[in-house]
Amino acid sequence: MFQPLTPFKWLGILGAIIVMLLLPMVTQDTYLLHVLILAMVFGIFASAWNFVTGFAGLKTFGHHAFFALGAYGSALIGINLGLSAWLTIWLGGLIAALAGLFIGLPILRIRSMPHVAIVTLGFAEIVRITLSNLTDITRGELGLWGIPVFDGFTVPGLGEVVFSPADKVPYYYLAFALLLLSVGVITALMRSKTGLSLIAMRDGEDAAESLGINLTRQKLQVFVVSSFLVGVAGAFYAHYITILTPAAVAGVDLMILIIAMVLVGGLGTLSGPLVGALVLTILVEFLRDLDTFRMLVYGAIIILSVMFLPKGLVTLGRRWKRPPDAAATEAE
Amino acid sequence: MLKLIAILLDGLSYSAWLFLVAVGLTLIYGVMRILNIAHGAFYAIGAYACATALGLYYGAGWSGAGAFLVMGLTAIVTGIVVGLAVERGILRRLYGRDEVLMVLVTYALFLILEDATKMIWGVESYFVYQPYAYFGFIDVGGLPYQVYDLLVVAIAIATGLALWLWLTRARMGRLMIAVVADREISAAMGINVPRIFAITFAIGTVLAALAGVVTAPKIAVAPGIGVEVIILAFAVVVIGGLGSIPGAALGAVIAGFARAVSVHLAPEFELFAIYAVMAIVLAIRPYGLFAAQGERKI
Repeated sequence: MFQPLTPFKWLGILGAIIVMLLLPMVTQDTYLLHVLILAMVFGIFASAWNFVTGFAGLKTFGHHAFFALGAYGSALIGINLGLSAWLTIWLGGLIAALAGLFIGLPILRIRSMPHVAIVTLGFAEIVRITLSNLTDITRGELGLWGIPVFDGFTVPGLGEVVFSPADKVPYYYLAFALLLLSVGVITALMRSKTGLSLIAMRDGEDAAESLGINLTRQKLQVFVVSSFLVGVAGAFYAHYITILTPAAVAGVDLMILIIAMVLVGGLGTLSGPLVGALVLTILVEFLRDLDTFRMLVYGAIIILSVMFLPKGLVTLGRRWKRPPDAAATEAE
Repeated sequence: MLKLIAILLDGLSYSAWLFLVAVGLTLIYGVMRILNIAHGAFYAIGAYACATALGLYYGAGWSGAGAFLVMGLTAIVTGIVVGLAVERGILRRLYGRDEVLMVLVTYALFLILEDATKMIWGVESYFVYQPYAYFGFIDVGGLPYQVYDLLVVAIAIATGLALWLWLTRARMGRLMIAVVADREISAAMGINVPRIFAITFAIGTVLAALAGVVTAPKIAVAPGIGVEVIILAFAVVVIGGLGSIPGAALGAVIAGFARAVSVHLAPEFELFAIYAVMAIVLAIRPYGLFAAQGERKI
């Protein structure tokens, strides 16, 4: 991850960006674009979770709380104060980041994985219960609707851009911009000194601390950045879907879906969460037809991928290309 | 005064229930280091199996105390069958993997088992109230109280004691303690560690099924009963200290009384009570009340 990118990899990244940019010009199929937009929102979420868990080694299971806080925060500010969605999505991210600071402080004391998992899960449950019980403000499980959409604007030469449920193309580009921004922030951090100290921290806390890494500050920084990104993703989701229920954005199902995406794609890699988000979002859409036994198939896929793809999809190519001993030393 | 008695009795019976739910989880974690989310599904399967078994029992025209024998047998049989199938079929292949992966696998198992129970028992609710009504009420200081709820307290205490005696006195239990202390040295001394794991998992599953069986007569057995149980059980074991059986007992008592107090005095905070207690305990002792850091205990 710290080697300079080869020209081949640059081409790959550039190619992927160009394909994503050109796609809406080839097809304007609403359903296809909708699935891709969701995949991008989940891609931001998955990358941010992977940043905390795969790179920094803080195994949290409560990141969906930040998604919900960003979503509800942005939506409620938009509804009650009448601010534009362009502004409120960042405020949603800030709310999530503040919550990340609040929950990050106590979990820094804990080093055992199950405890961190349960405490963060408990925090997310508290957020969910609060959202569904504050019926005066959030309308509880009935769902918060009437969330303002993004304001339209005019691009010289292109004409007017309107955000409406019928036309997914503007949302698509906005989601893509947010995705590039999030992945860019994470990549920049990972390729800087911060990234090196994060990996050192994950692989050996005591050793990292003895080399002068400020564990508390590093962990808190990562946690806050990650919760901010998840909050922004949640806020975008709120203004895109325009109806929120606590079960949909703060339910533990969402967190497990994200974790599955990261694991299927490849924990601790930069591209893994994106690949996983794309594959699983499409898969979940296919499984919608199965309806009753969706969860069964879904569970089976998780178990099989953990059994047979322990390092994730993105490492498959690496395994084929290199002799096994080289792959073993290189494995993150 | 009446309210105080009600809080005490409710706290007691709720603590007993929480202990039954959580003790298997903590046992499996203590020995195997697996945070088993599928525990909630085992609980649900126990409840469904109990509904079916009692349905057959009463359907055959029998009645009376034999129902309790049926319930006990149901818990043991379902627990052993389901537990061994899961351990042998899936978990055994994954030992030594990252803890996050194991949590995810048990969650996937939970999803699979939830849908499997829907496939077998459908989505309708089952009611087997007969054992609950069998003993009727007893008067406690002027408050009529269900004898069955007090019986659950007795069952919880008996289960806890039996487990404790077994772990400290029986040969197999002591082998388990050895595995908890050091897996590799135990294996080197000739302990069949995979066998200990299988037995532990089966016992943990029997305990989950027992909790389901005991609860079945009190509730409508319907899809979704496993979900709430698992999060409550997590909170309880974290309060007490993961992997510690006395810890699970203490955690259950604290959480049980916290909930009883809030139900009677401030019902709107009922759902928060257990989490609030968990947050306070963890703020003071991040590893729970009973787990000494760095030292494994069961």
